[in-house]
Amino acid sequence: MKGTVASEGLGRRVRRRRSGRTVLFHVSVVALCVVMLYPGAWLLLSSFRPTNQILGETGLIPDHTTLDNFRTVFEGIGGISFWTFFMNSVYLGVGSVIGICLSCSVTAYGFSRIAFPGRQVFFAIMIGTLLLPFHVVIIPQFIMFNEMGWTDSFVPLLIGKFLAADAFFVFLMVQFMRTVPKELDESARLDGAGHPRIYWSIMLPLMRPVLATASIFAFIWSWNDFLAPLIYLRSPENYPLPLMLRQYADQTSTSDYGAQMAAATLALVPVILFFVLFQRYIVEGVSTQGLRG
Amino acid sequence: MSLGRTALSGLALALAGSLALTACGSDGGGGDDGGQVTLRFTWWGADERSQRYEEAIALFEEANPDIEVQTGFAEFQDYWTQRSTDATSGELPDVLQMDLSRLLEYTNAGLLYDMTEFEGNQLDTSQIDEELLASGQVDEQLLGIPTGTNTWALHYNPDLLAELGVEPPEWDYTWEDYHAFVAEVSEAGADLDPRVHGATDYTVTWWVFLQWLVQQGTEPFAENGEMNFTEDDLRTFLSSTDALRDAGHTFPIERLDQLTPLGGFNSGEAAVEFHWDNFIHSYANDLGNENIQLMPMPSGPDGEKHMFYKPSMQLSMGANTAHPEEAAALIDFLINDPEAGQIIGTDLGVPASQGRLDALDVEDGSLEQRAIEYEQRVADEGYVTETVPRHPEGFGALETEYVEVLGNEFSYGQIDADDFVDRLFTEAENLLVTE
Repeated sequence: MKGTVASEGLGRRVRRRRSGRTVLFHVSVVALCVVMLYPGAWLLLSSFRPTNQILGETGLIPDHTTLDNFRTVFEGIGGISFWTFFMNSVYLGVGSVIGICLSCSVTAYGFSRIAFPGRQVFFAIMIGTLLLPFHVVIIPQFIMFNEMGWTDSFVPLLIGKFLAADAFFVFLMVQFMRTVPKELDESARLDGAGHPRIYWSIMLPLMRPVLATASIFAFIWSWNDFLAPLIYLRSPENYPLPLMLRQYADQTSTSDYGAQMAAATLALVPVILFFVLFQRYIVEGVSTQGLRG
Repeated sequence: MSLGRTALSGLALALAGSLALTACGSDGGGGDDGGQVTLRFTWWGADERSQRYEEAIALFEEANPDIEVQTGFAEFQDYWTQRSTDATSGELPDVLQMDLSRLLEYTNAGLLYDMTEFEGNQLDTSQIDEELLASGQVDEQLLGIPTGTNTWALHYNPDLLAELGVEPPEWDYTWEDYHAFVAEVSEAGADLDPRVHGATDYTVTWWVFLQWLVQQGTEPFAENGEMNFTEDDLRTFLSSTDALRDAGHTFPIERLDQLTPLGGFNSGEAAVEFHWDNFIHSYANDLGNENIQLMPMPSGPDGEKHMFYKPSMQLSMGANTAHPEEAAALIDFLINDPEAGQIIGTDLGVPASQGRLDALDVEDGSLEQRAIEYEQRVADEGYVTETVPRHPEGFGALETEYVEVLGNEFSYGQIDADDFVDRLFTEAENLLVTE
């Protein structure tokens, strides 16, 4: 009897201590979350403020709300509609995702499953390009694309993505494929499948989590890329959103910060949507995928 | 069987995709078919300028049906990144908006077209003041046509001054009067929330330094690109506001950093500010108040103002242009045509072309009218007596060093006036291109 009471008391105390710790944990996580989300919330709410009440204002709740900023944004810039800029960003983003998923996975398959002569050397060279900052190749690349007459088009921005020039993604996929049991390909080979078939029917379906990861990164990087479009695109009709956003705050003439906030808010929506849609694929485990396949 | 087909269709998709992209890219190259001429024209500026330009260009295309103008625009910094890549590939636009600080750099690299041959033909420059036109000339070549003028001004906020009970200075005020005025405002505004100061410390503004030098009778830069001012000049200038700084009468840098990209004046926390007179538009916009007035710079030691007009922007032609005559005609249209002038207004500065300025119909009491009247009045009063200081190659880089690096550290008290002087003179050796 006594013993039970005592152990119950102990259990309650442990539980209480544990719940106290849980509360503390959650409070601090929520506090951190608020700090992290604050700039985003400020951006969102500022887009509803009149332009001259945005800067210097640190509070969140606007005194006056207005939709004028969004109206200005939808009117476009210099006679070019907001949707033109938006669709340019979409083309570039979707193009990069398709290009990277196709080309990098094929390349990764080659590196991890085919024993061709010089594989180690080529792999090392590919990794080596990771160490090369973008700024080093920017001038020769520009001259090359310019000679080909590709400037002011999306080709220079996308061609590398279709040719597996992003070593980071190739590397990511190679590492992933190394975790896929070789027995899977071997049994496929016994059934008479060649490399194309193994790649297409065995590897690609198994690679779904890594393809999702690569897609998210590829999309976000392309969506936020500023320098490359700035250099390669000349006609405002071809500008993606990051170039458009800068137009609202020209330091030498009048700036419209309200419209900039509104445009930034609109520009964030697809990135967030894309992340929400694809993130569940990353979470799914590799092993379960292997079994189900 | 199906494995090959699926793999193939994937490959085909990728190919088709890249082909479609190539197809997208191949148009817009801009060629001439059947006598049709395509000109490329680029500028920097925000949405409003783009709208004005586009509207004016539509008129130009209407009047010249065989010329098509392809336009491009970007924000100021981005604009120059794009132009450098254009220069790399020898494809500068036929007509480009030019800034005085870049003119020499582009000229020395042989990137600009000498427009002298068009003067009096396609391009009418007779309406432009000679001193002003000379700012676009290098070695007797005409490389940039001024679109308009700017001059320095003291912007002041009459409503804020009335609230504080402080009178703005008289037009013939001196630097000492100005210091006393700033101190008076800061004292009157000490109890307000947020606290109101007189002005930001002008010694960290590059152009005020140049204006001050001109008033001392020193032309800041020699023809060979060397500096004409001495370390002592700069030290004297920097210490001229020591008393104001020590008393906390100048706008505090900590607050300024919080307000960025606004400054003290356009957030309503400082009563006055030196800047180019065309900034009245963005100041009014940021403040949400059109009641901003302009007055001239303080007088120098001889009681004169020694002010100057600067071309607000210039229009230049890329040396690689295939259609120089048409390009010159476009510049002429943008500079002189009265109808285009009505559309452009004072967005490119107070019009440089006298004919256009006279024809310009501005609304009474508007900011445009205020800027125009200010420039006319300072000219009529005989305040504008100098030409704009020379812009040697490296001028822009030196300005950035002065304002962004040294000015900032100086305002924070991380360096003193002596360090400022030492470092500016050391940097100048690297930055300025001298002959």
